[in-house]
Amino acid sequence: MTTKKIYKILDITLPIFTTLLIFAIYAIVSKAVGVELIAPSLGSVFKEFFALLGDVDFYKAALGTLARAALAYILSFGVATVLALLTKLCRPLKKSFAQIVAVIRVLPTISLILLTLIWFNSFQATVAVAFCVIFPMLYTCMCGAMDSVDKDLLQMAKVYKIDKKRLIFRIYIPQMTPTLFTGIKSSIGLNLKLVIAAEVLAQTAESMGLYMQLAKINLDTASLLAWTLVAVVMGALVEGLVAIIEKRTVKWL
Amino acid sequence: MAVNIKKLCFIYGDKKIFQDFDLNIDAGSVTCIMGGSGAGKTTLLNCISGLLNYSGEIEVQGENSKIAYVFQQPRLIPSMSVEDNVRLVLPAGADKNAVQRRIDDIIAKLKLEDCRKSYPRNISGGQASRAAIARAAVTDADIFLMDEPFKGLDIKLKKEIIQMLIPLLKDKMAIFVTHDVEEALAIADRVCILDRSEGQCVNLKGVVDINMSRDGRDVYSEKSNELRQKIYSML
Repeated sequence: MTTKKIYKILDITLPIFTTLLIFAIYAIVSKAVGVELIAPSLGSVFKEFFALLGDVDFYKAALGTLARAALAYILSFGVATVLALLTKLCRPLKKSFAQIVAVIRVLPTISLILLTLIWFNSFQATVAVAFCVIFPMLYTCMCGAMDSVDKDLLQMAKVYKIDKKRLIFRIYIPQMTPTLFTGIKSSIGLNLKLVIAAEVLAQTAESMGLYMQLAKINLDTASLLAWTLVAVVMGALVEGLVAIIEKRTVKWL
Repeated sequence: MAVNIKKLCFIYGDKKIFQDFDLNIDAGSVTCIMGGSGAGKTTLLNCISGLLNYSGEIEVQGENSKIAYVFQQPRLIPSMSVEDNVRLVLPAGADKNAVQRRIDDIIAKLKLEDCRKSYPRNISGGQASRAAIARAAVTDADIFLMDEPFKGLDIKLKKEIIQMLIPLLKDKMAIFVTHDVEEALAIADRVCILDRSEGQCVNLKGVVDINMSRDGRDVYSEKSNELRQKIYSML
């Protein structure tokens, strides 16, 4: 068997093994604690999990959370792109934007959630919280990506008088893509976590956060863990999708 | 097509590199620029190509003032295949069939058929150099600027590429920067030697006219040996 084949097998088996290990550790802890209310057995958690899958409200909540997360992310990405472009076109703007971004970045998330709950409705609040945390990350990443474009290639384009359209689509975007994917991979999972956290506090209708909060109030730990499992699976699926898109987009590296 | 450089001045930071520098490069000739490191060879090419802002005059005589530049590094776009890198420099609105024929022709001349669909990271240094030359040649520019395009290649490969390059430069004007006297002897009609001492500006130390046809040139003939010695004595 070649080394490449061994690595390929390990690539598939190791994550499965790690997941099973986490479940095994949890099963041991649950057994040791012995109180269903604090650490319910794996069986109870999975029973709740599969029960959720058969419930229409679960899909409404999951889709609602995903939609809010997507909206917050698209908004953050769009604003980050526009501001990074403005920064690139007008250098003096960089300092002012950097200050605004620095202020937003250091704002405590919990203050953000509470303030947005006062200012906006629960739907807007969840989107606003995720935006305020994700936008600075994406803006910094976007500026870095724009600066990472190879100056030698830009000189080559200047000498050969390559038109603007091709300059953007053939040089700028492909050169920026790897850096952008690094930023996307590190922020997309966090975005989902933030949206759920904001939903818990905002008690947004048809959201995973609301069901988590209800489970907590009812001291239904198994249900809370089942919802957590859903969030983890959802996050893993989103990150996996990004990884597939990256692999298909950045073929040349 | 000729290039007349008159009173060229260029300052880099607080260093004067060129001051009232004059040089005439004849139409249809290949001029090799030689000189030590920091003698201003690349800077001269960058001024001619318009990459640097200078004062003075660089006059390009002729109707087609298109410039093709082969840089020290191939500067291929990593996300595009060799063929697409060559295609990139051609006008977007040009006739597709004519463009394809031109690309096929250049790729064949530079023996790049095997790697035309490959990404730059998957090709050898020699192939990358040839791809950069193909990109320059496909433009149909009348002025070729070449800055040590064979740097880092072995002697056999250099010879091969020079043999491919000679017919491509027929009736073209080329300014070729090199440290290698053998390259200059193989390809040039004229060798200009630049010199720049510490704290001084660039000056033209000497000019050697080759006066031999580029086709089938014997670089080991008696005349070539004389020229070789002459160039070495000036360097």
